[in-house]
Amino acid sequence: MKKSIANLLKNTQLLTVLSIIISIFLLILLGPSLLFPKFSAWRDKTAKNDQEGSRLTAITENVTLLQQIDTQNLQLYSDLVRKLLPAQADELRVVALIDELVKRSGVSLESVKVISKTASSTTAATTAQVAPTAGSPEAAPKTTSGTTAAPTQAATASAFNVSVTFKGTFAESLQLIDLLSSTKRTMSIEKISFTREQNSNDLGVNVEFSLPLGKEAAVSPETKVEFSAADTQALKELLAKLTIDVSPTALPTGRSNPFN
Amino acid sequence: MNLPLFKKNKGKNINLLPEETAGSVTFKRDIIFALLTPVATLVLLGLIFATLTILEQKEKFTARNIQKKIEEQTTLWQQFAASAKTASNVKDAISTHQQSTQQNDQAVGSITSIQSVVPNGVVITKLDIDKEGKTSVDGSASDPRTIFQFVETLNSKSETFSDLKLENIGFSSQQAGGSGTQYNFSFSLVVKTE
Repeated sequence: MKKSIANLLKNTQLLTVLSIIISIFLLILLGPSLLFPKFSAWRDKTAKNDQEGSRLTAITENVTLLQQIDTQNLQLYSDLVRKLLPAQADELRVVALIDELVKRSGVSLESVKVISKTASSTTAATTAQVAPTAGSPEAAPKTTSGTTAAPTQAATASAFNVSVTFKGTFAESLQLIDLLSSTKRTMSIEKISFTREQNSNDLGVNVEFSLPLGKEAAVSPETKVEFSAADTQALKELLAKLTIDVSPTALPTGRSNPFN
Repeated sequence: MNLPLFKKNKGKNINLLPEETAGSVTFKRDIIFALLTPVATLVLLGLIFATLTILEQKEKFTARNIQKKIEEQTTLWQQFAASAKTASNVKDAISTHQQSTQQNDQAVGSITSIQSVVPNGVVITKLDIDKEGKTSVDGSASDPRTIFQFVETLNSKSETFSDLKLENIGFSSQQAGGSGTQYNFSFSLVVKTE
């Protein structure tokens, strides 16, 4: 037995083959179990570091950009934005603004109706309560007293609509639309309808406006907030252009007989 | 077997040794070679393992450094968080306002586009336009050829108007005012917005 093993060991080619087989076996055994997890861990860490490095670059850039923002002007722009897109529904201000636009353009106001636009988060029950008022034109209250939207409902929505009906000439109607570009409240025309009045040059015009509300932006250190020259220019132009606004009256209060 | 390992030792020529001694030297050499290959493989694996461990540790160190810097920069950013929020709100609002202004300009553009193609003799009685440019036009004319011209003009301006569909055309012998006859029409179309 010992002799046969000794004979086998004397076979050079067999020994070479055996050593190579053992080497390959070691490679197969230790490679995946020992080296591969180590390699994967190193690759994962490299990838994560690359990601974190990009994050660090982004935060550093954002800090630099924020340091460059003129906070004094920013406050000015913020005030303007709060007027353009208030966070909560401002039905009374909008109605007063429409009254102002009507006066400036020379048309005669027929009706104003505020329509609550419920957001997806608002419950179905709320929608059902609002729907009859919004859906029936007969129920539309005349003039500015027709504010029907409940502030709590509108506050959850991203916008609310206002339907305005007025009478005037074609030129006056276009002028009213043109005045929207000078109004300190964002008002988008959703639908416009012109109807020719019988035996008159006047038109009956119904405009449905959408009034978007401001949203609080969620910012994180990674969010890039930059004020480009174009942004600043646009804001400066808006500050100069948007001149039509309304404020509550400052009349004396406390009447001896409020019913007369 | 021309590898250096198999080269015979010049200092100890086994051909000059007795047969038994020469056989023993060759045997030892083959055994060493046979053992050396797996050992070399193990050493190589160990080296790779060590290299990977060093690289991993280096990445861990880098990660700690990056994390520290991120924390520093985040603390610095916190000082400007309010400005960042305000600036973001302002930017969003300006974007919304610009979209709204564009929408209003498109509405005016749609109205004036139609106004510019209405022929003399055609009276528009109703015009509805929505924000997508979907338009419906009702009108009347005493001469049907003017309505024909109106529709033809709209059709010829395909870059501005599309999907023109005549909904209705009718004839009434007397106008509401009591003067003569007239043709009433209504059609829908889309005024292309930019």
